[in-house]
Amino acid sequence: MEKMKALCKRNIAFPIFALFFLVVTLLHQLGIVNSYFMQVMMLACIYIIMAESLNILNGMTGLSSLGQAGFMSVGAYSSAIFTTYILHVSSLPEPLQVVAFVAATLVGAVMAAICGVLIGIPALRLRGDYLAIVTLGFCEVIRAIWRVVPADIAGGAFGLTGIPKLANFFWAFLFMILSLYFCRNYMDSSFGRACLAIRDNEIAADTMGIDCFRYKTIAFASSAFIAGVAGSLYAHLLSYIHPDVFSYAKSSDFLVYLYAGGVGSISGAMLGALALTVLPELLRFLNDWRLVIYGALLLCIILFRPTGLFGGREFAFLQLKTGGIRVFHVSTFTNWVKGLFRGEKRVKEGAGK
Amino acid sequence: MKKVLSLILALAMVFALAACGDSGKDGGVPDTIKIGVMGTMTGEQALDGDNIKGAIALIQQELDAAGGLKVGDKMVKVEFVFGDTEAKPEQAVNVMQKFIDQDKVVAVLGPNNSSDCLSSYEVAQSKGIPCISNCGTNTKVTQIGDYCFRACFIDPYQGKVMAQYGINECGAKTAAILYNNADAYSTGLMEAFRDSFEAMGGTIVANEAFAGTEVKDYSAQLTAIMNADPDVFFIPNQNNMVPMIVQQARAMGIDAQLLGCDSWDYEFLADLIGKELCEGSLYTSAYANGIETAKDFHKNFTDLNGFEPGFPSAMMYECAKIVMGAIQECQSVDGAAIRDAMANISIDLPTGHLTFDENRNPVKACVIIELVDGKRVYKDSVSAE
Repeated sequence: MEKMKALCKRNIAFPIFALFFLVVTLLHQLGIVNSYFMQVMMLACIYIIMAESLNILNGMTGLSSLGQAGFMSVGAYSSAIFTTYILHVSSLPEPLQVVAFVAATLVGAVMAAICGVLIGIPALRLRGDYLAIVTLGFCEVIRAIWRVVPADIAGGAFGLTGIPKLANFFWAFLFMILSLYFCRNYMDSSFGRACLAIRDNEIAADTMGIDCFRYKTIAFASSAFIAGVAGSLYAHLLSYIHPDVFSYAKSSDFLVYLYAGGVGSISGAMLGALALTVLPELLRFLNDWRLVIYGALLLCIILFRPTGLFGGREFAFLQLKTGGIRVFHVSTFTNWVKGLFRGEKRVKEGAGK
Repeated sequence: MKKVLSLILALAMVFALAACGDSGKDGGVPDTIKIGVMGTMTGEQALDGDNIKGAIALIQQELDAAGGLKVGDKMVKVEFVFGDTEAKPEQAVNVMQKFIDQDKVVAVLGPNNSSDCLSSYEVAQSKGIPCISNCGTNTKVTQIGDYCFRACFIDPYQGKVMAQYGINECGAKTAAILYNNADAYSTGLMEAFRDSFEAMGGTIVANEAFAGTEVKDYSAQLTAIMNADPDVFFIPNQNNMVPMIVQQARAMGIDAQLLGCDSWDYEFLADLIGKELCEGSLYTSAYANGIETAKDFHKNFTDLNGFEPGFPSAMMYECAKIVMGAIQECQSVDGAAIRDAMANISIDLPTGHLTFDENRNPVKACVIIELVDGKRVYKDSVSAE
């Protein structure tokens, strides 16, 4: 019973997330919450995923990336091409459409991760600002490529239209939660700890025998993977994408979300993206002064809370406890399977180190 | 955790509260109607936003002077709600959702940018709210659905008008074209011009292509054109290429009447080409400040805003006129009724008479502008048949 209570306490976020989702969906069905709210929430979910993805690089590994929108566009375009031109999803029955969407999201994420590795291998010889410039260049190259790809595949300079609208609040919310847990468990794993060590002192980490190059590449790939998921959601939410949407200005938006929320903190990235997506919408009544006030508020956040809204802290459910989160942790399952095959008693949990 | 929960709840409440305040829409026209105006008020295309605001300010002034919009025998107050798309497609969707769900607009004017139209019109279409773009020239904008209109003409339309004008007014029998086959704009205009010119009994004696903006030497194509000796020479290209083409053509001795398109509508073009080389050249444009019918609009706009109206403001003014005209016509604020009235509208506007074709693209006069002594002079208004 004690154990049960402790478990519930640690995983209190689960019922809360489920409840939040159910309440919002119910309110929407009842017509109390309108589609505008849902639209903003879905965008917020997507931007939270992007901020988390950037957090893996900037926050955990100490690599500066200005090309996050580039990874997002790879995810968006490859998944959109997959559903629109390869599967012709609109002609499929509904249950298959959902399967196709999830498959497309995976395709987008994997393609983005491949790009992450491809750009990571040459770029990681550089550090700091130089790396940032390379990623910025990558973002621009990707954008130029989408313009050059024949118009009947990627829409060219007119943008890709007619993408089936498959993303809804459920998927955006689910992928957002999954990305939160992915980041949390990543940070808690040996990969994440190696990344943290590299961030704090690369030379020391190297001396301690951490293969910096390998872990940085992994960080790039994971970050790009998550960005690819967000890209796919974005494409299937707006049903229209254009190369110029994924400009470096977009990348810098994500950077702002992350730093306003608190770089290095998963909860911070989440809060930052949520607040800065919702805030401009709440300020719409100001008309011309909207972006002025928005900028001023942003300034205040950074001035009065230089570490961000939630910098250096985590929500309880995201705090590091070596061993991972019990409900979701893969090692629980794999250890159990290993135990079955070896005929041993289940290995006591203790992933990470 | 409590903090998060309270934060989430607070946010949800703010939105829920904002969502309230719904006004009943039962029968007849309410005393106040709202029309959404969206555009790029900030960002790279903020200049268009200023033009849009200027046009709506003028409309508002006219409405105030008249005491409202006369629908049937009732004066209705029209309120314009502004939304900034920042030239970002996802912001455009947010604005559209807000307009429809929160502000309960009856119709939406703008946005000016094709990308913003393409993302946000899906929403308007699914909710049955008519929307009309002032300068979304991408053909796909109105193909999204039957609630999507535009006030500007699409690119190929100009080609058609120019072909007609060449035959009817310039007395041309033969024509030559030099176009860029790597540019959708150029290719589209060429096809429209070619088809219309041939359909009206003219002959295209030379139709030459070059590939891409990097090309700087057109002598091979121009030689073929010179040998064909056309009456008119149509040059549907971006304005950075036009000067070189014209200079090389004239240097080679091609003395045909030059015809252009709206990319020629650029203040310094004649200087770049050389005044005497392009003397008497004609091109099409959507709006010109010299148009007879637009005199009042031009004067009122300039008096009110302190700057001259441009293409986006003229088109936004017309968008507002079209929607208000449709509401007067159908005497309803129902989306479907307004849409039907818009589709069947026949209205006189600053740039001339306007109706919509079956694809909800305008059928209206194109402005023909002549380059006289390096100046852009309004010559004629022509509509395609």
